[in-house]
Amino acid sequence: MKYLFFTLLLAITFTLGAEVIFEPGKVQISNWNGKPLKLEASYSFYWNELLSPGQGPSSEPFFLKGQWANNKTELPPSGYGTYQLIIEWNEIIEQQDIMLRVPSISSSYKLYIDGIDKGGLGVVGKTLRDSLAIVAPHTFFLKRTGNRTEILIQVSNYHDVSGGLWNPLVIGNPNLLLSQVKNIISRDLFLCGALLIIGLFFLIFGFNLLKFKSREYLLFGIFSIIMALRVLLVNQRILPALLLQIPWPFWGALEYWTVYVAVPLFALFIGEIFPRFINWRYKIILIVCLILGSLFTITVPIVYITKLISLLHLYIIIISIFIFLILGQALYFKESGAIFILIGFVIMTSTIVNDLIVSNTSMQGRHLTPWGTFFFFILLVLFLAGHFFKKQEMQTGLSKILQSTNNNLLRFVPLEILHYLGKSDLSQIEVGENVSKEMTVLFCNIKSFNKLSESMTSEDCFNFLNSYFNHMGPIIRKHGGFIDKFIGDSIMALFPDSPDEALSAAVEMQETMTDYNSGRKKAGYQHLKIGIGLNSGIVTVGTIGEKERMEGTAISDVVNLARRMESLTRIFDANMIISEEVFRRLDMLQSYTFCFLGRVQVLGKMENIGMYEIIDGCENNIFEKKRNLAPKFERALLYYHLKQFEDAEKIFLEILKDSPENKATLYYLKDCQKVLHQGLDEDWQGTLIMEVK
Amino acid sequence: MKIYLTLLFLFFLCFTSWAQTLQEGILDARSYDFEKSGMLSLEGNVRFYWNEHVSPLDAFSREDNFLTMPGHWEFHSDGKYPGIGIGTYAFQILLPPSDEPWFLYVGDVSSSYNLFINGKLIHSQGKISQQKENGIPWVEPQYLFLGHQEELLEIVIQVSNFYHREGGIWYLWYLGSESIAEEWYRKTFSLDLIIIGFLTSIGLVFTLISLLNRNYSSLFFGLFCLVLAIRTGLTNNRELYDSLQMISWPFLHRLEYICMYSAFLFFTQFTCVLFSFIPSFFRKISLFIALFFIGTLFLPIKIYTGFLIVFHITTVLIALTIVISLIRHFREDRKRISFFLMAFLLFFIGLLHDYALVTFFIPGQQIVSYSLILFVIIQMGILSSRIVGTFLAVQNLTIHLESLNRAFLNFLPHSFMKYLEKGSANDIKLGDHVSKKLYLLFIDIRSFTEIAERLNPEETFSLLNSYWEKIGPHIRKHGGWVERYIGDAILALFAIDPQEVLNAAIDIQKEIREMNSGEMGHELKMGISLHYGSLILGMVGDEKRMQATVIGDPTTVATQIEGYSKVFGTDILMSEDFFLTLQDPTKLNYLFLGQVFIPGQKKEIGLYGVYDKSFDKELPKRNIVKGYFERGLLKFHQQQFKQAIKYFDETLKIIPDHKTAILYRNYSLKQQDEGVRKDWSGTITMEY
Repeated sequence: MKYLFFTLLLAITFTLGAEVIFEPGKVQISNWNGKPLKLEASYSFYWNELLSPGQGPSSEPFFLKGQWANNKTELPPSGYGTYQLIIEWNEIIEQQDIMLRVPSISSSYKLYIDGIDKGGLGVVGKTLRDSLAIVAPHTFFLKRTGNRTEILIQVSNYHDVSGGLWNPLVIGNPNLLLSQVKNIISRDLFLCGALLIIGLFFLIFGFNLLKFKSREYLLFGIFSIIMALRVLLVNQRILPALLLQIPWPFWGALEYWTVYVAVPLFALFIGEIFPRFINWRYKIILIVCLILGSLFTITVPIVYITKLISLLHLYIIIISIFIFLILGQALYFKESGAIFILIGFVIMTSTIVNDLIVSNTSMQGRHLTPWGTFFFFILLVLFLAGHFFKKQEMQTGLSKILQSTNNNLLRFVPLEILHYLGKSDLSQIEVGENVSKEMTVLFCNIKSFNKLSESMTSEDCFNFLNSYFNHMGPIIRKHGGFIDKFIGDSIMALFPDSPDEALSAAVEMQETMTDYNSGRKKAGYQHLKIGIGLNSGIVTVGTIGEKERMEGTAISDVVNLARRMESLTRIFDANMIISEEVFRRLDMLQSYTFCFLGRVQVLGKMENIGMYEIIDGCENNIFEKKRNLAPKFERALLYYHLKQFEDAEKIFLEILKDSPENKATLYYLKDCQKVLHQGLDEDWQGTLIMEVK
Repeated sequence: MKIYLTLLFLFFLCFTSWAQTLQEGILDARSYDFEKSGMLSLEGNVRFYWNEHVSPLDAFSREDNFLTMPGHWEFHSDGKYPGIGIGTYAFQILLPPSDEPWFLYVGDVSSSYNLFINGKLIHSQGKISQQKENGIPWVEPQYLFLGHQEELLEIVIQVSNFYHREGGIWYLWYLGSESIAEEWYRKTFSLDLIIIGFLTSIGLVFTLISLLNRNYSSLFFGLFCLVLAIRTGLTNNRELYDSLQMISWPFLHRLEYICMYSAFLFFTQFTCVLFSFIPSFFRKISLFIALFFIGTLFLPIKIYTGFLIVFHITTVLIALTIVISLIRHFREDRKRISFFLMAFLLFFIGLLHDYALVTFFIPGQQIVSYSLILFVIIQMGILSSRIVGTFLAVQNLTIHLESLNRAFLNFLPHSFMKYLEKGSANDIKLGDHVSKKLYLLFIDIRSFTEIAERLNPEETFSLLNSYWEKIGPHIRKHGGWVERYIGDAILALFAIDPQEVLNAAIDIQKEIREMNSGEMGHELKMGISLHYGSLILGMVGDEKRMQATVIGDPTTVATQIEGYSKVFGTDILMSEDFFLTLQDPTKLNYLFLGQVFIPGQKKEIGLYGVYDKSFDKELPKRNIVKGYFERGLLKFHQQQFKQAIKYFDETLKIIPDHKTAILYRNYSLKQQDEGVRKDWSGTITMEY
């Protein structure tokens, strides 16, 4: 009853053009034209016997279609036995060459056909020590004579969880079967080449990108190479068949190793692509899986690895679920490319399923797995390329944004000061760096700005200031100077090159103001005057503040005095005042019209400094007037300094007759009169004392 | 030419075997050791019968007429037999005894044949015929199972060729027994298939990538690989023929040529894109190639194959031009050009070898595919390093820009921007401004000028910075920001909580005391004033230089109030405006100090001193004198100077250097002496 299932199982394959009847331990073939034929018969199997041709079996046979260890036979996988199949030919042909393709048999066998020893793979033995395991498909040729062919296969297995035949034998006309095998192998080789080069490429590529924390390319490269290796290890076992001298435990372990490593590697790869959906703990778990899996396959004997095949299945299922979870989330959050990978994955899986169906049933169909895998990998590569270019585009975009931001920011950065600090790399600026250099400092302010601003809204005030600064800024830069800072309505500028440049800038600023005023006059606005003070000397420039809030600045007595001189323009009603220091340094003095204004003493300091007014740049009528007055004023000032106050007073009064509003004259006249009234202090020096902060 | 010959010789060594040759149609292989020497190549003199298909039965009984195989019959007969026609080859092989079945590898035969062994038809390729009309051409190498054979093999091949200009056996045939043949055969096609897989995937990838990044060098390289993949499948073992059996052979042959031309075209374009210095007429080569294309498509095989030599010469010339122009520009980009040149020379040598095979009918395998692989791998390396290079350049640029950005941002008044409601520096325009009520905190180092007098500029800088570095964090911690540095002073602004401003001031005073007790070497004192008022924040400058600025009276007032801290001897002073914003002033230790006059202000301003135990050791005493002082101040304002003086004296008994008390006491005395003016309001005015 036990064998009822097997008895008279008929499988007639019409498409082959042959009639094939399978009986337990027997196949009847008629009308066969040599097309490859799978012998999916029930083979007689004698357990624990290594039958030689002609030797009668001592036990009842089992009837098996494949491996001997299954639920029905209840045989252990390790052991030895003999498969036997008898082919009965219905038509008698004198002679026919037949090729027999023996698929992988676990784990060593010896083949007899019609009593002739055809050899085999490995060494069949009754104990583990006697045997040598080699597993690969192999081809044998036989000459059919008569109407009966007996195939006898002695098998021993101590290395795999499934002993014996894994797939049915195939017979066929040698040329037909060879070309069929060649086609299958060709596809695998093609796939191997394709995956290998992809892997190589990404290995090189990924290695270069590793320093930028883009690990996905390298992972993909390794994954591809492992898959390329795997292609050569499974199915037709191209590599083991080529290197038959290397025994099965090595190849088998390698085959399992590829799975144990490739699966978590792929999960890591997916995780690197969609880093949002994986945290580092899972990554570490995957890495641990990978290491343990690969250690397991390297150290543990192959027989235990295959026994624990359910562990491998669990391993694959869990990691696959994990991969699908990531992909699902990525899909849900509309991450670009997730659908790409999923489609590729589904297509590859469906080709694998297709092939399983094709090989498990006697349906005719093409072997599609290599194409599905190829397609999947090409999709992945494209996805990665897109991923990469998107990243690059993002980087480019980012750097563009940064560039424009920096250009904007640059306006806040005192570039020139940093330049003098000798920084080639602007990002290395530290607080407190400074350098001392001889420079000319220019201060320029709008006289009576406070009054002006009271009559304006804040909006107007800012617009006015900016339009004013926009007129002045370019002039300063044109003459080689730069603006250090704006203080309210004042401009503080530095001229590192020569005081001549600073002075010509100042003159041009005054001239621009004249033009600007004529415009303002037309629009009915108030007339504006600016006062400019120039001083030269050693200035310390540098960065001040703290790391998060820096300013470029210039610190020096020279700066402080220049600032005061600007207010001096108000006292003397002058447009431009330059100090003695500037005066001495000027090369082009003769081209300017100037007037000595006396000496100024800075509070707390002993020395006093001569001040000169530069008359150039005034409006024409004022210029004429001032130029004519200058010699007179200077003479009066000379008398004043020589303490001949009466003479001085006389000339000052004379000047006032012509121009009653000359503030400088008024100032000195007042002082003269004070001295004349109150008498002379002992420490009188004829200087104007200024507090400088 | 010498080099070429040497190379040729080398390739001969590699790809041809010298074992045994056919002589007068017989090969004695009885002593040939297949296990040791491998497959037996069939070459030499064989019987040949022109213009007839001799039956295998009498092929060996005819008169002797010999021809060399392999190589087409026109070539070996010095033109005696024209390329087009029919003929029969026949030869015998004496085999060693063997149990194994035999295999025969039949190299290409143009363009159809029937193969007989010992009188039995083993294989027919295409369909042979006497006239062109009846025949079907098909040229493909075959690996044939011969089965177990006796000692003598009599091989007869009836050939007919009406298509190709070269008729007969083109390439080498091999014979071997089972044990060696299968492995040999598998090796011959394995490499080809791996190469096809290689080229296909590289080609596909680069072509598709070029669609993504619109890069012509990738596109041309990808297409080059793809057409070469197809060509590799169409030549040598012709692996693609199996799957293309429905297509006629003349078409496949055309395809092979077209692949060759387009490969050349794509290659030159690729080189042109890669190296811009290559002469521009190269780009026009496509026109020239188009002629070959059209010729191949529309002319019969026997004519267009004649162009092959022209094409070969063209390619060699162009390849030489490329090499010369690469060498000439070698200095421009050493690394890239040397890699390319190396790859290119490898490829070129393979190409020359194959051309030589074709042109001189030397038996051997085409090797261009293998040298091509090296070329492609090196190219791939170059391309990928280019891609990575671009990426790295962008990335480095970004990193550089980011660091610049970070450095620049330090110059930017961030908090300021918040009030202008600007997210990034890009949004800031000149004239942006906002009016806002803010808390001001003004810090000034007392008598810094005197300290600075003793220091050189560098020391001044570092001294100032060391203070500012410590103070800045306190300001930020309490929600404020530094608006500007004015020499030895800081103006900081706060937006929200006056209590926080106060805490900041207290922390700063504490910090300064800690710094003074440290190893600074300078005993610095700072006065802090707190004020509240309406300010305009805005951007001023011109297009090259921009600055955030605060405009408004309160800044002046805050500066001026600070001046009183020295007069009153208080470390922290608050204005009345600030005091009134405090939620719960009773928690503080404060003291009303009277009213002061600030120039330019319409009203006098009340000032409050703030003390904290963290920096004021005299706080308990201050709490005791608070009552006296306040009563004294009250009396002072009520113009009862005598009582005021009494209270101030009380104060001074406990704290002898209570500066405010001294100030008011002196003032009271003065008032007592001089009498009170009518407009007297008890306001203190600082004299500058």
